[in-house]
Amino acid sequence: MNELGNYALILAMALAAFAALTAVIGVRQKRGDLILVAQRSVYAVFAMVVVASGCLIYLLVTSDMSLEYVASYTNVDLPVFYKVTAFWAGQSGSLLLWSLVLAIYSFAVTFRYRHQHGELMPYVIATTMVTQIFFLALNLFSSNPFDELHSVHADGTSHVFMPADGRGLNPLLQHPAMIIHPPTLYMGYVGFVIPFAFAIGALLSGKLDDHWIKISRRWTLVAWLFQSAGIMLGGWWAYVELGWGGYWAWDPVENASLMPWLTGTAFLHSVMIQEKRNMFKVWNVTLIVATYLLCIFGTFLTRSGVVSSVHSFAQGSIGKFFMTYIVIALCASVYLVIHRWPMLKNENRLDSAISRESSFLFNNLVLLISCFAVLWGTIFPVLSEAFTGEKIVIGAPFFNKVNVPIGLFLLFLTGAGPLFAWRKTSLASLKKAFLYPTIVALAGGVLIFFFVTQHFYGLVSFILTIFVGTVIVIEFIKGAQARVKANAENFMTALKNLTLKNKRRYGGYIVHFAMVIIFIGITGTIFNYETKFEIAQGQTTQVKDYTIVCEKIGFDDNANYQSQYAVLNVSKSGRFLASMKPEFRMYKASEQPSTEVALQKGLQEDLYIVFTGLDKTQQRAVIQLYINPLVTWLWIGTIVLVAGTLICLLPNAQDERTEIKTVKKETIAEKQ
Amino acid sequence: MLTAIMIMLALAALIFVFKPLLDKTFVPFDLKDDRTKKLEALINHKNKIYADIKDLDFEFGIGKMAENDYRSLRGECLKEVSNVMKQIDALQDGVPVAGNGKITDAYIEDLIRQKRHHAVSGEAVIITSNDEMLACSSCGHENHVGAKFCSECGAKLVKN
Amino acid sequence: MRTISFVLLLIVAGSLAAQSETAHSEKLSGKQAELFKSVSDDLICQCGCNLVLTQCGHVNCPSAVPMREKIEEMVLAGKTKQEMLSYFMNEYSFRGKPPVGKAILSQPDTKGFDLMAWLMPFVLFVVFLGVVVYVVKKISGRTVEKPVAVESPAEMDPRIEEELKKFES
Repeated sequence: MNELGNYALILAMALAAFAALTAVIGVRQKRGDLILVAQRSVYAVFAMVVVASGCLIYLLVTSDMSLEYVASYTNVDLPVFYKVTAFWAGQSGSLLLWSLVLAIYSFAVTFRYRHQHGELMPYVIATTMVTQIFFLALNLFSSNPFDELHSVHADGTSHVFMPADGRGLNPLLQHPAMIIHPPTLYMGYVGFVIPFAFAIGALLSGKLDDHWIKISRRWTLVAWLFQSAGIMLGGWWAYVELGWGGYWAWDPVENASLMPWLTGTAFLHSVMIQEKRNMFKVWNVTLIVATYLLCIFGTFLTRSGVVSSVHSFAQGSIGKFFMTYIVIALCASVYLVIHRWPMLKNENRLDSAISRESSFLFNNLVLLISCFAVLWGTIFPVLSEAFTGEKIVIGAPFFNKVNVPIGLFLLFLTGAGPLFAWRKTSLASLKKAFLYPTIVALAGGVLIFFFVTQHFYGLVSFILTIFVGTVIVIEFIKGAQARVKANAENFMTALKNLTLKNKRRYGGYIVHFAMVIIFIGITGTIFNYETKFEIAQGQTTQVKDYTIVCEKIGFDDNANYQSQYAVLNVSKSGRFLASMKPEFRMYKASEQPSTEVALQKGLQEDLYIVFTGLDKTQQRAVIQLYINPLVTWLWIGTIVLVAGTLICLLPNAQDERTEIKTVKKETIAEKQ
Repeated sequence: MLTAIMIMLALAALIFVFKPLLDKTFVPFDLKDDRTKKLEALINHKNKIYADIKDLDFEFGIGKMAENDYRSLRGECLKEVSNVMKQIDALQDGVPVAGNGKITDAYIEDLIRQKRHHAVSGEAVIITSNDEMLACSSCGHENHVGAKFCSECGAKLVKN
Repeated sequence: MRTISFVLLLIVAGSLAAQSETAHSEKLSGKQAELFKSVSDDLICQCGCNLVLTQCGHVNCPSAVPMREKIEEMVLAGKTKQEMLSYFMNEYSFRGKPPVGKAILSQPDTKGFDLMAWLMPFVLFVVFLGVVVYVVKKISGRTVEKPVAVESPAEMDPRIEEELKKFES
């Protein structure tokens, strides 16, 4: 089975190279049949990568321990569904997942536009396939999940070696979130390849009209949706599984996922200026290229071990492959932009400096600075060591200090931006628009100052969230009122129609609102409380409002792990809240300990309990307790964000109309 | 067994990929002729202006824009859009296209028929849906009946 | 046999945790707890996770646990933050290795080359801001501002109004 998987990867790589080649030749010679061959090769690449992935899943599920990958990340007694998720537990499997997701995207894009954009699409195919070749090559030449375990003898010969059982899956990865977090995040990372491919396709073909930018925007939105969801799922996983009470540690790998998200967000805004005004073409291409390179760079960071991190598995030659590819892709992109410079000129001027357009430029500025700050902090230790010879580490406090002010400024722009009209905003209206939200926010600020917190950033953040929230609510109300007047609808219908008739505008506002909710969740961090105590069966303890009664301390055993746990009955201010069961587990195959957090979620605060073990007497449980306010708002915000983005993605009525419906090639193809 | 599967896999891929070449089917590189593309670009342009007007209306409606800015910007847009519309009409000259820019199924079928005809006989494509012709009053160019503007000079066509 | 050995492992792990029970226990008063937190935030766990001490979720971490204990001990002994940080930089040794120096701190220095880490984002912000302001000034505003006559609805193609109504953005 592993030979078949390996073979399928080789076939996929050959087909990908063939697809790229025929696509380019086809478009150069205007040969429709060759383009068709290229398209079919893309479909075949997809099929081959699916076969390879199927092989890996089969090998994992059947526990073929002669395979290094299977033996390293699973054991026989692992539940089947964690065996499947072990697919992306290690380096080579993760890279195969990259290839798989890219193959899915390439297939979807090629199929979707098979009858359209005749001169653009072949180059798009070529670009995606070149990326595909790169990742398949990584699998084949540097990190192959189908490699067998070999034991080497003294005389230099080796033979396949099959251990009785594998080393097991890292306990931290044995969590439901790990089923969806990595694939979702990869759908994001890899999704950014598509807008990049269209940008490169447009540069190569010279078809720099509206088409590529429209298509790129849509696919960027798709990738952005997955990237956002993936990042938040990662946070959720860290929160419920890592047991330190937080969800974001500014780990290099987390940073790597945030960077393309930031540039992608910048692109989603500035692309609108190009769509409407035919301006900033070079800038938009730059943002897409940057996003793509950051995606590759992110994978490189994770995989190369240049920067050490909990997620990374430093291994061999893979770093050089990545560096080479990144440099080549960067040079090629820069060359193409310079080559097409005359076609990328601004076709218009801004009507006014006080306009939505220029507010987007400021938004871009802040997003990019934020991205730079994250990148800078992530790679600075490497630079510092190179220059001073002394090793340093940059941890969360640095990122917080630098990014909190930037983030708050961004939050402000989230609210201020929508107050600007496209083209030209009148100062009088701007003053008026700022008036109410500012009054509400300041009034709220005074209340918060006296009743909630005097923490500077906390106060600023809450004032801004109130400001932005009010702005968005007013935007909805004003828009709906205008509709009520014009169309004699009732208010709720008007609200619904308003959103559906202006999907991009109001979908966007919903996403902005989601950011407000997420910021509320993040701000909760400043009220975090933690403590540690010991408790014996039958004892009671009091932590703030919570009364905790230890009902039982127990012991459990199954094929996968053994555990100790405590059953704690928690009541808050006298009212029974929940019975919580934090666990301490010892996994058998990996011989690694792990904690299962007991979590009681609430809108106001989460109660987060970790069982760290028993004390010397073996009678008392050692409990680490965290009270984390407002964390639930993060997850609510994420759901709102997904909903808003989906609204933006809904097609408009005229989108269907303007595309001159394509005709099946087969119907007009005639035997000659 | 394994070798057999491998060979089958490769063969299946090869046959699937090369089928279009083996069939010796004529596959046009681009389905759309220049006129269609031009039309598409014009309709896109028109929609862009519409989006602009919509935004202006919207923003004026909720009071973000001063009235004189609104009037002058909207006026510009309208001027531009009627210009684009004239070009579209001139281009569509005689081919049935619904007023909202919708390319009708009938048109597509027509296009297929012509392509097919073209592919087989190599004759020039003649787009006709009406035999009657109408001379432009300003330049004399013969236009199809049903055209609103002259395809040569863009002047408004009036039936006399 | 296997089961028994695991029970043993579990118990050993459990009692290890017991000795570690200190990590900010109730022994510390409010002010001391704050100091404890602020010092923990400034130190990097040496187990290889490269995370800040407060973030290492490693169960019974061989590095985080003793480090936290040491901090608590020093807090109770009335040491200042600076004294504690310099102890960890210059004297603390993890598993007998020599002290790692600056690499145990979670934030870059504010002098020398490391100052760049702090400055660059703000320098770049100022530079970019300048560029954006310049670009906006340069490309905005029309050179000719002539009033455009508004077409009266009657002159307009009736289709425009109709199509506009159906248009969604």
